[in-house]
Amino acid sequence: MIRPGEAKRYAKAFLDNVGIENAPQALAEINSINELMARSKEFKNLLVNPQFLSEERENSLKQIAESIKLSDKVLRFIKHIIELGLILHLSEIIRIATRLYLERKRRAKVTVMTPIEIGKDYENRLISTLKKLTDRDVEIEYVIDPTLLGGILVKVDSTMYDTSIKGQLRLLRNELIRR
Amino acid sequence: MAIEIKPEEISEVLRKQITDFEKRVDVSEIGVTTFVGDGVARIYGMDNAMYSELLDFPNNVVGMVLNLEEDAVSAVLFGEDKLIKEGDIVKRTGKVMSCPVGKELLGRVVDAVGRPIDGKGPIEAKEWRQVDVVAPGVIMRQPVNTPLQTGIKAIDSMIPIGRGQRELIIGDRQTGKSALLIDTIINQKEEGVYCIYCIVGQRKSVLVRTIDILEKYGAMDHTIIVAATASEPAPMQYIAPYSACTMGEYFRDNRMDALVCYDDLSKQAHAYRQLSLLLRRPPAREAYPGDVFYLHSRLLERASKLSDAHGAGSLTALPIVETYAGDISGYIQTNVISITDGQIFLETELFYGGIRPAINAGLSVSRVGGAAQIKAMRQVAGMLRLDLAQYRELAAFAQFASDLDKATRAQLERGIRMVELLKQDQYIPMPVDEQIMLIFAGTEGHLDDLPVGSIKAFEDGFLRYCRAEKQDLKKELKEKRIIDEDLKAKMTEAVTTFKKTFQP
Repeated sequence: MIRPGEAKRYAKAFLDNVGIENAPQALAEINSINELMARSKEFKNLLVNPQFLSEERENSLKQIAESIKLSDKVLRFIKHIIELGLILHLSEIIRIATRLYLERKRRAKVTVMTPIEIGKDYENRLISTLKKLTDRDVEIEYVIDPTLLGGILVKVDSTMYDTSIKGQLRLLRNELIRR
Repeated sequence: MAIEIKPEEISEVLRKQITDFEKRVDVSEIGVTTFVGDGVARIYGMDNAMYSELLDFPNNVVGMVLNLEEDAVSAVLFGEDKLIKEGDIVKRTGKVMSCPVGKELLGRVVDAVGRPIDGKGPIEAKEWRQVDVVAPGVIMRQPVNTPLQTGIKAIDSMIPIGRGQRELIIGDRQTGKSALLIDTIINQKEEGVYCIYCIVGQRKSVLVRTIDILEKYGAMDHTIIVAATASEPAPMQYIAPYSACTMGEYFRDNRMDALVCYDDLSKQAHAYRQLSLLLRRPPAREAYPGDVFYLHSRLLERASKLSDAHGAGSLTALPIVETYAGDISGYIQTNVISITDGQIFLETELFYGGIRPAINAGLSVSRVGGAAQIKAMRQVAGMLRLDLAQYRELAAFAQFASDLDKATRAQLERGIRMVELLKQDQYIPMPVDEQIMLIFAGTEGHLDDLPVGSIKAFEDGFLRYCRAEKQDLKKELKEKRIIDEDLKAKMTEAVTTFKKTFQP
């Protein structure tokens, strides 16, 4: 478990280093490394396992960086995080960095979950409502989740608005148990 | 007769309830799990979570917030941590930990959060209360003034416990600590005191045995058992004493008397240490967290005798703490000794020497003292504890001396007989009037001329004689609660009359 505040410290340093304008690109790059770690056990092993020498690690990272076109600053940051032994907490660092970036840009990240894809007019209505609700520009991530059955589920920061049928059924179940 | 269930009726009820169910937007505050393991979880987000708030995890697992950090909260889980994984969404409930209270729980065995585990069906409790609350303030209290009769001669005479007192029971393993509590609970059958027995970190077999004994002696009707056995997660073992205390407080606040036994607090401290280390709180002495004193002090402070204006109810606490090799100067041991109003120290040597209950009279005290004893008992047993402690010291020295003066020899002889008299079998608590009669016989020197081996027989015979022939004397003693000249003469007469017929 990472120490409280530690992830935030590196997230802040990362943003300061790459600059606020380049942040979306840098975050996407660093996220691709994180996803690669989640997908490939060998890659994760390479970064974490102390059996590998640091030169070996550096060489492989360099090759990977070239193939996926990582910027120099991101590569240096990753190397530094590996040296500190915090690479396993990269997802937490990314999460905080994203939040910090959005805060600085006065934007809100919203996750919208629906069972089927929603139409353009709905999307526009949703964006205007969410703008009003959060008082910020919104950046929407759409997730299709058929298990919701119907309705819509919106996550803004740490608040969740749930009008999905799945959620309604859960509420109904709780109500029936309570009685 | 089998109950006929009609499916139409059930579906009708359900339909009605569903019609009433309004469609509404479920707005909740959420966080994302970033770490789960060993019964704790770290949740990112959840900016407004409160300390000790309950959290709703997936798969019906409930957690409680114990750490509030800058971007995250850490919570302990009251359930299987394997059911939760990284990235799971956690919801705030806005509620704090509470448990069912009331007379509906009597005779039941529940877990640390008040769910029944005895297979006797659901508990229809009318009231729920918060588990971790602040103890009553000074204005709400009054000094302890009513005795809590344990039914154990050695305790009621030498180390009296009052209603609303906190008396620690301390000793090595296998010295009869739990037995004292069980005897005390059995004795409350006639006393009108409701009992809550809280088992923390013990084996399940111990729990089953305890239930069995209490049922056998008809003590379950006025008792609730709260159990967090060794197999349950540390958060359950940590919270169980607080739940037990909350159940006791219901009786106290409703003008009744209750007794809560914690068996034992050293195991609770172990569970709390585990939690704290997993939550990354800094370890202090013996790796316990810095607030381990507060863990016990806030629990034991809730035992109290309420003032008349608040109903005069009481909650007595009898915590157990285990020692290792008789060392009472350990960390948790000294903490709890300093919190409680006295301690009963049980010794292995005495236990195996056949002195049971194995109470060490020198190290055991009750800081409430005489206020927790009826006057008659104080009259007969006033100096008993000191005399016995002196006897023990004298006996140790007398082993080296060949010839002793008459006074010393008399003191030794008296001491041996008193020790013999204070021995008591398990599960046979004794009413206070009979205790007084026996101790009166001992301290007045009526036993000095009897052989030591016959004291037990004398006790049995004398009690039988009193129950058969001296009912009026017992009644008078119970009512007067004080020994005046007249009563003293009658008691002396009873002892001497019986002694004449007694064949040692």
